[in-house]
Amino acid sequence: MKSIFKITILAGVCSVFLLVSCKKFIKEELVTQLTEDYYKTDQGLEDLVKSAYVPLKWKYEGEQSYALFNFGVDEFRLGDQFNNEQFNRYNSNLNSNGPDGFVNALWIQSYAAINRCNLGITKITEYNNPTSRVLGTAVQKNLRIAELKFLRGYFYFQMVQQFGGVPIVTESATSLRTEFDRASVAAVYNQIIGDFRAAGPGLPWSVTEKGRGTKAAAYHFLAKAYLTRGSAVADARGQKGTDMDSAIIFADSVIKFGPHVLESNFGNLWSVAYPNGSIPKAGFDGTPPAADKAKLTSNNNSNEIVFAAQFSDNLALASAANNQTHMFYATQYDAGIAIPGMTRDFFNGRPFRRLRPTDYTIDIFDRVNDSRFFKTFQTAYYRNVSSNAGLPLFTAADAPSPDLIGKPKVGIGDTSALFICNNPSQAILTADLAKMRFPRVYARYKKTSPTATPTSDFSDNKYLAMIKFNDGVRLTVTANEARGIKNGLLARLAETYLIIAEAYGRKGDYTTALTYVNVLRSRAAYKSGEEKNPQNWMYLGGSNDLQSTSNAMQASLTLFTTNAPSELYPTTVTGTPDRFIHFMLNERTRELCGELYRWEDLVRTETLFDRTKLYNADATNIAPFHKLRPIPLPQIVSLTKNGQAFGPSDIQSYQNPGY
Amino acid sequence: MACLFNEILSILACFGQNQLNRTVQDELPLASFYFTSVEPKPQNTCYMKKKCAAICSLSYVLLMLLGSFQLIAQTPVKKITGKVLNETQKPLVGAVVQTSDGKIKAISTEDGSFAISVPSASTTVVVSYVGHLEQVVPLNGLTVISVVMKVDDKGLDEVVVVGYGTRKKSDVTGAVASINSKVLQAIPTTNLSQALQGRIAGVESTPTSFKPGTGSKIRVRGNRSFNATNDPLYVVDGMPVSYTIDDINPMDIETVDVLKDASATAIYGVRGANGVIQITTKKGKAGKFSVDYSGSVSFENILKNIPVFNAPQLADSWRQAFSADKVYNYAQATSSPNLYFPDAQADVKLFGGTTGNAMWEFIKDAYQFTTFDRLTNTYIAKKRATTAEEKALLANLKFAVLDSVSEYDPTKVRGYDWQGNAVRQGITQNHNLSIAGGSDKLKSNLSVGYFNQKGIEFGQDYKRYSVSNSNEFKPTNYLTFGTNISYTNSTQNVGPNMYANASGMLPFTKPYDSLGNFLLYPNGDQQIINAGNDVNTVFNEVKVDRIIGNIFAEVNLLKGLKFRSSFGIDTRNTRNGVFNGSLSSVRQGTLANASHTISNSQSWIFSNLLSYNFKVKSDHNFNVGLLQEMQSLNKTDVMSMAAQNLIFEEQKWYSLNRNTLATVTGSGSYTAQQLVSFMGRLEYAYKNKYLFTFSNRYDNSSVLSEGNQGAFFPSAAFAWRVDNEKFFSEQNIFSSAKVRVGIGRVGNSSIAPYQTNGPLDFTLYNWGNGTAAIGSAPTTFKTPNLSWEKTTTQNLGFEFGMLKGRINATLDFYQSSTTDELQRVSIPATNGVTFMYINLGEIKNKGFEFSLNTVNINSKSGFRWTTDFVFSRNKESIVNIDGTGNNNLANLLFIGQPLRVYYSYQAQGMYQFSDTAKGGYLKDYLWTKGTNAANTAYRAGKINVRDANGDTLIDGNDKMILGTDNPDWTGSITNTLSYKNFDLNFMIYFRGGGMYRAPRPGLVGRYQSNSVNYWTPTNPSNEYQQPTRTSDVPTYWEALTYRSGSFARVRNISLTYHLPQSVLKKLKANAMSVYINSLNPFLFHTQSDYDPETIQYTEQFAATTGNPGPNSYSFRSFVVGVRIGL
Repeated sequence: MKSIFKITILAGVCSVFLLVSCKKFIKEELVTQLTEDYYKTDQGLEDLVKSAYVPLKWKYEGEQSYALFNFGVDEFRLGDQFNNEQFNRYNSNLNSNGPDGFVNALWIQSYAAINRCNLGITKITEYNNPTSRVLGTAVQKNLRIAELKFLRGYFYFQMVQQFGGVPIVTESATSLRTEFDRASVAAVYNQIIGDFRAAGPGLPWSVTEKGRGTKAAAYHFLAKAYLTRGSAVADARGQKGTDMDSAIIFADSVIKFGPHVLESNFGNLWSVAYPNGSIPKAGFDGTPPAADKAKLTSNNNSNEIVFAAQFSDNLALASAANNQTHMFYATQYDAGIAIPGMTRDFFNGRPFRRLRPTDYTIDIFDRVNDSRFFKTFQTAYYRNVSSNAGLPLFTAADAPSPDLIGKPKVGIGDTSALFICNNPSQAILTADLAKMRFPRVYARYKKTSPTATPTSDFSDNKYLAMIKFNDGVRLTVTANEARGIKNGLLARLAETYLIIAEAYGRKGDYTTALTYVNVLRSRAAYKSGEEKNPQNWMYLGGSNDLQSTSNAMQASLTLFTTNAPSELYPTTVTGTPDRFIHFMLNERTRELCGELYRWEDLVRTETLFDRTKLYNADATNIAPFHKLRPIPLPQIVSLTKNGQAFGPSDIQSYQNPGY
Repeated sequence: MACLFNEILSILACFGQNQLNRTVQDELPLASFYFTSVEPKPQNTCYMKKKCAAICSLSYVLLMLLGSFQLIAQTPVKKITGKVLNETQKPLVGAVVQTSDGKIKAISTEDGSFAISVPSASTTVVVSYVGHLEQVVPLNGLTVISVVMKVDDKGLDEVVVVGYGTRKKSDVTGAVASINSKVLQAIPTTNLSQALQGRIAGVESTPTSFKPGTGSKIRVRGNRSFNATNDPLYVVDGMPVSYTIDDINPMDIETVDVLKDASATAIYGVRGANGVIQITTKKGKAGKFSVDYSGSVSFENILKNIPVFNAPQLADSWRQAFSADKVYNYAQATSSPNLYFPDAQADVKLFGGTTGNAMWEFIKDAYQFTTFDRLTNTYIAKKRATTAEEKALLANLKFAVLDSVSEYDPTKVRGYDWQGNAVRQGITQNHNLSIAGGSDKLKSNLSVGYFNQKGIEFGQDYKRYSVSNSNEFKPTNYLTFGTNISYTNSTQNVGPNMYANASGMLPFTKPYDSLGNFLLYPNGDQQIINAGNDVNTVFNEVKVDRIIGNIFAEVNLLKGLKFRSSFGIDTRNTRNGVFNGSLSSVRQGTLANASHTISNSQSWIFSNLLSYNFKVKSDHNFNVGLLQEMQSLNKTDVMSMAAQNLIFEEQKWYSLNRNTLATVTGSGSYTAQQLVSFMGRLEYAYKNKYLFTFSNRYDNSSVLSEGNQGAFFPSAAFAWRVDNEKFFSEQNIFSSAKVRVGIGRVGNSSIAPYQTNGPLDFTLYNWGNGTAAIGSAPTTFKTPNLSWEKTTTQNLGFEFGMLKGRINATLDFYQSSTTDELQRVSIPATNGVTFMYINLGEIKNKGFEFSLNTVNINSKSGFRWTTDFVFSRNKESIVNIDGTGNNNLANLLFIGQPLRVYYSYQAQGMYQFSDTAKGGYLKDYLWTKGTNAANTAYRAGKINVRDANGDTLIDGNDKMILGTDNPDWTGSITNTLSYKNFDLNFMIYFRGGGMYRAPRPGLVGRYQSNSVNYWTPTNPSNEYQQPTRTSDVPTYWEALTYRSGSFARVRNISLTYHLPQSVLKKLKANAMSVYINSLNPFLFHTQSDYDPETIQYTEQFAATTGNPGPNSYSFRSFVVGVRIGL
């Protein structure tokens, strides 16, 4: 009987298992995974809006930053450790199926963002729940919709400048779509201007959640979109006669009504890159400069910034890459042909040596009066190695005082390397250079005798490093940490001034244009009481005083009404209107050098081919068609036409010319 | 034939079922009730659920009734005693003596004797013993009998494990291959996947790494899936396991049976797509008690050292790199005259003499300095006059013609052996003890094992403790309960990669300075990091607890009718601690960081099987099986925490909150999936000559879209036992013969859960620098139609024995086609998302397998020589990728090619000076088009790749398929020679075809490099390019990496000595042997300096600086071992 009992138990247990519904058993239980149903809730919609901001970061998260935005232009050429050189050389590797995939990633990132915007605009419009705390009122809903329209406008603006006409998608698809015709450039600009105009009124001038879209950001980009459309002469962008007036009105409103003000000192924007402390006396040790979190925070919080991609210093919120732009402009101060006394540190950065300034960039600055030059480039490296090994020592022949004999010529924190930014006429005798006590001196121009032809110490390995992106405090203190925490500046008020100035000039009102330029010039000048860079009087012919250079810095009409030598106009540029455009480009270099606007600026002004060919010795293969990026092949091949996969002729006609 | 098969397949689902029902209805109404009821109704799962419940309840009522009936029926009357002996009159322990109806059983004891009570003296008893022919003894009134068992030497008559049951090998209709513990343990291995290499035709085992504790990738008859898994299903003691089989101690395994074709695997439905590997662990045997110990110690040494430049060679390559860029001079500037021969002044600068760099100490003695003054930068060394030849050379190469050059003696350059100080001799200890025994009522086995491997690289080791226990209780003769449980606990120290690091260190530096301080950057270059201290500071420890257990109950309801219910659990919990100390190559002086990851995974399976084996007349043998099964697969939760800047190092990953940032970051996840399945199987044999198997399985998976979760997986197979035909006995060449044909369909739904419902992803953003703004964004579309990936296999097999079983061979031809591939396809990003899952595409596999076992010599003197030969060839090809007939370049998928191909430029050596002259390839061809003439990649000394499309431009269009990762064929030969007490065994494994990639040398004047023959103006090598200072990733470098992967490896040579009986008697042991074994002693491969098996397939790198290379290093072992049986 015991067996029967056991079997009964067994049978009972089995039956219980079987009674569990099969259907229920195989239903997926969602625990840590959300699905689209989340967007039916107000929290879900709020999160969707947040996600639409994320692709803003991509521009700064890797080598695409300089490759797509600052390579292949007049400002910079190749450093010695070049990657992605095709974007500078414009060689055959710059094609739609290139090894890097940056153009593909740009496309993917932009449309991912646009899709989130479209989805959010539709779903928030449909959302109707008055009890919701965050999206219960029309005001709350309209605010989010305005943010999304602003972002959508921004991403289409980025796309049209890089690719030309792109497919306009304003509805989020619920199932796979494979037919996407390219819209005309004019249609894309209409979409962009429409979005920015619709977004502006719904957005506040300032926000508590820093980084969200504001009226100022929307109108800045709206003005820039009008300026860009209206800059076209040969290109067909749908330009209208009113574009310049529109640009002026909206940009001016940002200055007049927005909360943003210019920093009093140009350097405050990137102060993290300046040494704190003083240089010790010869023969003594000081402290090498170190990065300062407070400075970085104040850079990030500058009220001059109109809109920025937000990067976090919190590991849990950081992306896998974060802002990496700090690496690409640095020169190799730490290895290779080594500089005695220097080792890699956070303050001086991790030198990837991708870009070095062209002669144009160095020469376009008034290095005597314009403080922006020395606030843009690093000319001195301060000894940060404590060991004296390998450092030159004072000898009886060159010691300033007998007690220094046998001591290192530079102490800790003293200058290990100096980059002298002189002109050919100021070339220094090599014998004089040899007498300097710094272990390394790189003279831009030197000569072996007074009559000799000057040569240069500047090379693709040792050059002036642009320091605007320096990021001495990064996500972690791990050696070689690549993830910077500086925000990505997408717009700052100085550019708003330049937009207005250019718009006035394009209308022929050069005098008004100059008033806006001169606001920046006044700020750029050395202030009364401000110490000037010693190179000013030692090598550049300037003066060693504490007087303001504001007067010398004021721009006058003669800078472009005549062929002013200081503006280095290309010989093909004649006539005031034409020179004015180039003058504005020069001024943008002086103010915005390296800030990842240049490629788009040159395309906008239809000067990419001429200026790059003239000033960038590495861009040997540039052709006029390079004003547009190739449409990424992986995108084209996944498209269909009338239900059929694209054939070679479809691919060719979808592609931009030349690729 | 293929067409015919497809025809059969298309109607199989219904045919199989109808055939099943009709046959059974004709013969046995009761059983047919089950069949009709279980016929699944896919459209209505609810209906099915109710039906199952009803059947089960009913069957248990029946079961109880029958059970009680049987209890009453037994009334023993007569007691019979006797002995079971073998042909040499030795007693056989554990032989089964039973009445012809199988109701009463007894087991022979240690002296071979047995006692059984039978209903009457006229009964017939049947005696069976493993490996022997069954003896049928009519009692005819006798009460004491002696039974002599005859050895069954027919190779086909082994028992193999098929899905849900075991069958005699001779009765199996599908392609099944087996190996036993003797073969498995012939080569001591860490885990099963290694042990399978070269053992079974059609099973390809390639090591994923040679680090201690890692296993191999197993493929049964090739790859068939783009995105879902290609790993086979492992079934341990009838229970499908969900995690790596490599946790299991291979010493606990009794047999491995591999089900290769779909007619055999279809019974596992959706999990059987990639073949099924059945593992049977060791079990206790009735009447026999045994204690076995085996132990071994092995000593491991690296098989192939990576040849790198020695100090003078590396110094030369640096000089060449600088000279090639015209900066080999003191100023290191192109404005100064470039030098060609070693120059003291230039070297002073190049090797850091001016700054007192550590490198200089190694170089300086090659010159004789008269002045060496860092203060005035004056470095003057002894010179010698330039010879006329040298002058001519300099003129010819357009260098300045110098009258004198530095006197340079390369033998005086000093060097440090980094590699030699980064590897050690590994030691492995392996001990196993098993105790097995049993009676009629209880069989039990207990095994404990200890495995400890100290790897050949510092910091890498693996330790495993294992316990396994199986019990089978038979309280009554119609009821059996059992448990199998195995537990393993292992600790793997993945460790740092010190040898790879050492291979990249400069030979003219050393790890310590003159005061004995550790140097993180021995020459100051922060890209050349000394990892010598990593053994003390870098830890990556993986601890695994694995429990595989099942319990089952089996009831004999009627003669031949059995019900078996089993519940199994597979649990794998891992803990991974990662720690990087401050003085490590990872942290380089910054504070330590660590992470701690805990992952708990569990699967369970509950299956109920009703089987009925019956005969109709004596010619028709039927075996039907019905199965219901529920599986919870891989319910996994993971928690991971990490922290930076730990305050103190001793804590490793145990108190992450102690860090200077006071921040611990964490993440977690949870996933689960489920399967519900039903299966029916009919096996029919006519006169034991014609064997048929039909099966059909219905699986429901949670990971697929609702409405598409269920599918049928039918199969059919036929075997003809030619040896049971009358005419067979009229010949005496063949001793056995069988022909098999089979066809079946299996599925694969191995995609991650939660993909079909429009999953969202979390996005990271922040407001200001601090406020979290975590968002949610769509990742892909909803895919309401997502369904199974299906594989249909056709198989034709021949098995035969010749010369009285001296030769046994198995031959299989197969073809499989996998359709509706589950693919993650790229879609236009304009949709806002970049991919979605679809069912599209097809991969075909075709192949041939052959295995041959021969007894070459079996002399009366006791000399025996046997050879096992295994050969397999598989051709994998993509038939369709996306329906358009196009290749998918982004993912390197090409129609007509296997999954993993090498697609690149084809190297044609280096450009030579002659190419630049008139009539040369460059001058007259390449330079004539576009900007080629200005391209510095097209110069003498640079890599020359084929302009495959002949358009005079080298670009992406010139890339071509160079080869594949798959071998064309693999095979092995194992020879065993035994004489008296000695066995000599050796195995050679061959791999033909396939390709792998050798690493790129670092010819850049900055790093160490593999020792290669590079181009210089005076050495027109065609192997590697001229070193240059500017680029460590030269254009077209990939083209130089491809190598044929053919090799032959001697896997082992072992010599075993069995102690003679006389000694054993004294030791009171049953068996004892000692052996020495040389594992992997030789590798025959000439294509590169690497062991092809140490380099994993990589064709596309995430970073442009990515480089293929070994992830670990193979080794040879010398093993000493002992086996004792009491």
